[in-house]
Amino acid sequence: MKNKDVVFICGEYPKNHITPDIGNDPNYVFVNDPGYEQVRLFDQDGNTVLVNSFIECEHYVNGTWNFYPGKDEIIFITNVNIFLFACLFLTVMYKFFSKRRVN
Amino acid sequence: MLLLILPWYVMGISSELKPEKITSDLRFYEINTCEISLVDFLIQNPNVVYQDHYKISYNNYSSMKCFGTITGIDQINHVFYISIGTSSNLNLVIQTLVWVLIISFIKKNKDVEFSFKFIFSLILSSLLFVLMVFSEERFYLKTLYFFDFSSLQHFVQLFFTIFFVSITSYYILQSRIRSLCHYLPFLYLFIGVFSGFNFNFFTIGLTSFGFVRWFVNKKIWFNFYYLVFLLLLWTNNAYNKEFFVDPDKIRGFSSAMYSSYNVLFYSLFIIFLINGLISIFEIQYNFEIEKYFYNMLYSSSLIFFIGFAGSGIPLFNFLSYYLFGLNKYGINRTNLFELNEWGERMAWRGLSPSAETIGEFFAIIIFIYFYLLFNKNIKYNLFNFILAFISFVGLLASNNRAAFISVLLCILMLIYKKNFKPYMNYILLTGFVGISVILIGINNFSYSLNFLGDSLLSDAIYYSLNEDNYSSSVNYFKDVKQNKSFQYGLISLISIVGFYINRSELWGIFFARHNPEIQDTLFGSGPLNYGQLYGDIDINPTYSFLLPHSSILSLFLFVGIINLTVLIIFILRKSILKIRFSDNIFIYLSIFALLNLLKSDSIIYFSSFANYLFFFYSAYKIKK
Repeated sequence: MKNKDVVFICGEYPKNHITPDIGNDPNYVFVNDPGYEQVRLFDQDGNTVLVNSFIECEHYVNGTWNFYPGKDEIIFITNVNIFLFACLFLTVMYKFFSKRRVN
Repeated sequence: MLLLILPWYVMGISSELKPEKITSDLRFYEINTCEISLVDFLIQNPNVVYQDHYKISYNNYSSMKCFGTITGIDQINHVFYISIGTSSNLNLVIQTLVWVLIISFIKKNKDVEFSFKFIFSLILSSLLFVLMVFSEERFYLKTLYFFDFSSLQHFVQLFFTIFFVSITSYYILQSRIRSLCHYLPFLYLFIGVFSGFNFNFFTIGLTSFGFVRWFVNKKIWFNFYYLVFLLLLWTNNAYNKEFFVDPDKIRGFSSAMYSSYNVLFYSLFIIFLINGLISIFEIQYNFEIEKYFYNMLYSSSLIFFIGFAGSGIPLFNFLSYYLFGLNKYGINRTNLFELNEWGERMAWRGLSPSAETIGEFFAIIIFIYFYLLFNKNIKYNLFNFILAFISFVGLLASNNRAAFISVLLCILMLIYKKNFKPYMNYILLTGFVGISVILIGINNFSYSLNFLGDSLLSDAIYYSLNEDNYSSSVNYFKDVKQNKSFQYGLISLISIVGFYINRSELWGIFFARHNPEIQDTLFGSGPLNYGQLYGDIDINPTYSFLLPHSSILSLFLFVGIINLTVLIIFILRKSILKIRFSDNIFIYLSIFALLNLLKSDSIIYFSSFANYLFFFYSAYKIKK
């Protein structure tokens, strides 16, 4: 199954891609892909690593190297929207009840 | 005050760093980005507020966490460029709140009740704006921070933010709808374009009005089936094409992409926007031209003074861009009447994106003032006179001679109609011709008719790269010239007019680029879209991003020759020719608008679009 973080950070999955089972192979060596543009990955603490193939990138992103500067942005927007609509809802309720009280 | 200061302070509260004095050693600010708030920075460096070798600018492509903080400082020669982080998504919210607060000062005159149809209209208009954003991905790549255009979550969240803007914009405008037209002049001051977006606060609310008028009142401003036909035709013409144009100063009311999706969404947008504007115009039973005029005076004086102050005070320039929702930063030239290296007067535009448009606005004020005094609708008052005089200075500074001549023509027509005497027409005509000749320049009348008639074509050829790269317009002009056909007579006439109003070169550039197929010529390539014009044909470099400098040419591009001809005949017959039996002010204002649309781009700025449409509509409604 495609991981959205992998697509966003590493690019689209290559055709017929099969994710190798690297975790069970301690001697696995990542081979550089000359057709793949080097990608810099970040972890939550701001550490960086450079990867040179899609397989390597996918492996790291599936681990903990899936942080990118805009990652929190959508959470932030969601919170802002929740706040805005909560305020709107409360205003409508307030107006509704104050109108009823006047009537 | 909270809205003015808080956004530029809050995100820096948690930082433990203290801002440093700004010097040529900028390492501190290069290392510590997103840490120092603008307010803290200005407290430490108060000279940045007023010294004009500091330029404060927005960085919309930054995280929400960096809002209002310093995201970088660069020094080029002796000028410091200070970049302030703003997030486009937060701009939507903050700027909406600022404008809602300002509009709330207008007295409410209607209760708003939300029904299912209203909510549905708001959802549709919000959806339309989100789709407009998604169809202009290339524009937003530079302004929306890490926005994933393939993600449903991002789509939904943007929809909710725009839906919130839509509800507030709709509510605040609808609850004041009966007096809104009195405040139309303030659109020149509060332009309302969201920083980082290609749309406008007011158009969101008005598009919702358009949907409501369609759903609830079952009304649309033109034949529904013909509009559907145009939509299909324009969308089909753009199929498989993709041209991008950076909207620059026309941001907020012009498309950045030419693709079938974008053409479809922008066409729907303009259809419902006009529908929304008409829904406001048709209920202005208590409209008073005096109130409109006073608002014009206040608005123009504020434009003049804020524009002037912003040109010398960097912080003022920065804040006015944000708070008024300007298309581009205000002018930074303090001398109103500066000359260039050839001794020519340079146009001053203040806060406005275009000197021509603001010149027309100032000219309209002069005319309305004269009209109201002449008809004794208002009494002479020193305060009003001073404000009108400021507009006159603004008109001179904008260097818009066409607006000056048009206002003169309207005033002379008014005098002629009111005080008709047999000799009067000769005196007025001589006076008008004399002043026009002086403004155009006597030496310009010494050219041969052949030279003048060919100037448009020669400029178009001059700007074309080579013969293989001629646009279909240039090829057509060459063919009709060779065949000495009747059409070239018309083109020559346009060329002569263009030469005398200093538009030969600009219109030549337009035709060097304009490469229509037959269906584009007849029905246009879609409203508010310059993508194809600027992307289809490569031409020789021009000295800046040059618009066609004629709203008539823009309309020709947007809606084609058939619709344009019908539109002009309609305006002439239903609005302007009413001058035979009425001297209503809107007829004069329609004449003024039509004359100026010939040589300015005003129609692609929402402020003039809304005001001019109001003039034409009001003139159209005058009964014999």
